[in-house]
Amino acid sequence: MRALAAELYAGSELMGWPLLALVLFIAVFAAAAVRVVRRGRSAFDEVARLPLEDDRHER
Amino acid sequence: METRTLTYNDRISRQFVWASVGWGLAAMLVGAVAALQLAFPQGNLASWLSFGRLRPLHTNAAIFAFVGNMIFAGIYYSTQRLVKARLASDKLGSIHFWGWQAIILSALITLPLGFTQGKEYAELEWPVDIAIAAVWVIFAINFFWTLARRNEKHLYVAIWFYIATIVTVAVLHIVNSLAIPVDALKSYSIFGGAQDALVQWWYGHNAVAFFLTTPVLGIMYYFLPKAADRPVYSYRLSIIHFWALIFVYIWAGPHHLLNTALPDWAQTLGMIFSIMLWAPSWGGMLNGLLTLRGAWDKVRQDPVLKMFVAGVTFYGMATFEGPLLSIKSVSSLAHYTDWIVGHVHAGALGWNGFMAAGMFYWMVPRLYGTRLYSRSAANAHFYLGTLGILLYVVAMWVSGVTQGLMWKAQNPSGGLMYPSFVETLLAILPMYWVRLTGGTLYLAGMALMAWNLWKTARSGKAVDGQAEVVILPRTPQPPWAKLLFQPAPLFVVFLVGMVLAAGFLDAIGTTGLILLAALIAVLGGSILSLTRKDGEPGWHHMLEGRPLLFTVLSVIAVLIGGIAEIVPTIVMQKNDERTATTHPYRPLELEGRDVYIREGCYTCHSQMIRPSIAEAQRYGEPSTMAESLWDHPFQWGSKRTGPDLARVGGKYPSSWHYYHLLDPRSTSPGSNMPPYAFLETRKVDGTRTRGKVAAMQRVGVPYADAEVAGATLDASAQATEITADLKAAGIEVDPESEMVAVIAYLQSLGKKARPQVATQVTTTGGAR
Repeated sequence: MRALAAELYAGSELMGWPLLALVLFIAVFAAAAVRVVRRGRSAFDEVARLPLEDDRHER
Repeated sequence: METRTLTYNDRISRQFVWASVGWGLAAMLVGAVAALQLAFPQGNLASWLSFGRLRPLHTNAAIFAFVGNMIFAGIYYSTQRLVKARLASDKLGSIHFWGWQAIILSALITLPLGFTQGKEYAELEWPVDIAIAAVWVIFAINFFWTLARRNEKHLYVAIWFYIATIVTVAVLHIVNSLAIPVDALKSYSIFGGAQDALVQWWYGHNAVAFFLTTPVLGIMYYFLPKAADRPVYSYRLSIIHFWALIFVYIWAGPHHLLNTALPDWAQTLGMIFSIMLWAPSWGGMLNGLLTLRGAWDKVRQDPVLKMFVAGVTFYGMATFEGPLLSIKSVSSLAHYTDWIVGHVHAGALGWNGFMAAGMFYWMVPRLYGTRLYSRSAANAHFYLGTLGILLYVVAMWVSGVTQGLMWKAQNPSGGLMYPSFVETLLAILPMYWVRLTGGTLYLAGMALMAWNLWKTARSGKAVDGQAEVVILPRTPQPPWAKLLFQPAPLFVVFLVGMVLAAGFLDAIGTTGLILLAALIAVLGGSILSLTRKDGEPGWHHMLEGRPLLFTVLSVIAVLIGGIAEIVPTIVMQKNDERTATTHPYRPLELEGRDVYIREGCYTCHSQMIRPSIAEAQRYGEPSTMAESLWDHPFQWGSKRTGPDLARVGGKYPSSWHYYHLLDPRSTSPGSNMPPYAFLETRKVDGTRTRGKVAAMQRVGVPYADAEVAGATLDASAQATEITADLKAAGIEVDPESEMVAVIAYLQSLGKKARPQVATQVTTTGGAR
């Protein structure tokens, strides 16, 4: 672990910040992925059909 | 329920369609001329028509004129219909259209005349940069205003892609264009050296991402379902790949700088995120192709679907090839070769070009209340274009791999097997003719499309779409406090606090705490989602109905990558500047460098010797960051049609450079470099020299005030030295000529660096 960290920070002391960014991304991505999978496909049927709706409404 | 008849503003879409078709033909014609010049250097007919001046015109026209006008056409058409509201302001739309065309016209005039900032895909000088920002703001205001007036609660995924495009392009353009003006049409980038390299390719790659990809993905998500008459395959996949794409893409810029003097950590970040980018990109591709499940018979009949399917397939191909090229070992073969050119054009011609064609073939009949004039011409366009792309790309693959291998090849005694650069050029010359053929076929297909669309418009009448829409009652939105103090955002704040607390620990403690935070992030995110009550609107669901908040979060997502990569280089650059022993350019060398940039020499010559044995044997010691510290803008280059010049200083006598610039083939038989005889008669404007040195001083180059004051005298003195040197070789030349300035610059390259004691040059990886 010590060797890994030493190698990571050998490039720059600031390497913690890209790691922070990655953590934030993983958090948001994981939450979004779980949420969409949980909602089920049919929950999005209405919004998925939006491009096709304007044909019904268009004169 | 109140209903109303809306009439959409389709005039603006019609305007942008025709602008795209017209400029697209122009961009591709310039591209064909440039391709001819590479195969046949006698095609460089005049200074303003030489390859180095035309290449930036071609790239700017293709990206901003052809694709730019196309995306605006698609965005205006689809947004009004998806949000069920007419464009908020016709006047702002008109300013956007005419402003954009004026910008393109200014590029058409200034770039061939040599007014350039010398940064790829951002060559336009500072007044035009300001105009771009102004027009973009007008576009953004009109777009978001239209969203605010919408009668559709949900923001369809295409709108998300448009939002990401608008905000990110603004950030990229503004940051990368930061420069100090010298005069009305000349400026120097505030960034220099490795920092400029990183900013440039953070911009450059994300110009690809957020100008050439995200808006066209949005267009795909609207027009492909329309043409196929079926909804997108998986809306859930579109949500996931959207967020992944806009976050990951931003980090990919350093993959343009692999095996250069850019610090290792930045190269590795760029490589890893570029490889990860494969996943969300193919998410988009699969979503598009699988939308056509069960409708493949329609593809056989319909040229629109043919174009979309081929476009999406080329997108998939390019977004597999890109991550592949981002692997350091692959890049060590491919970088600076035609393989990169092939990759670019697979995306530009295949993805952008065919998506544009499909969209136009679908839209134009509807914009004119008629049918497409000729289905068979559209099908012919498809086959011509596909054949053209295949010839182009395969030729570039062969040429790229051939040249890359020849550069590396060693003979049994350990020396270079092909020591002459021109040998490697002559080996690939037949491929340049094949590329020209492919590009010309593609252009022919585009011309056929232009004719077909014009005949279609002539057979109908301009018509604006109308729709009966239900006016949404203005329901109160969840208050900000409720939105912000939800479990999800509070959880994120907790995580951020955890990680900031790590700043008080040592390196190992920081790493451990960050990994712990990552674990909590995954577990906590899952728990939050699983414990939400059924029927209760999710946080993301609330977010989707609030475009402003959505926009802010998109901006944060894209800023993270930029800040994470650029801020450390600012810190490092400051350290380098404090300890630098590299001398800035002398005033005459600076003038010569400006001629080098004006003529677009960087489009064919790199100045970055990579740390490998073959490169060191061919060009000299690998380049360090210190050597380009004062280069505003950096000149590392991205293509070697000619040899690297990082250590050309002192390699040849000044007389060699004189004859080489007059007629490259006199010193290098077989070279395809344009002749620059006019440099002998054009004079350097000595009245501007002092102002240029002063501007460099303002961007941080350590010229002493006395050096600024004495710039003109020093330039004159150095010119006298060089002309004396040339006279000894029997050459009479005006000391005030641009020829002398360029020779001064070339003779300085690789000689002014004195490496810092702390800098380690290794044969693997970058300098740090």
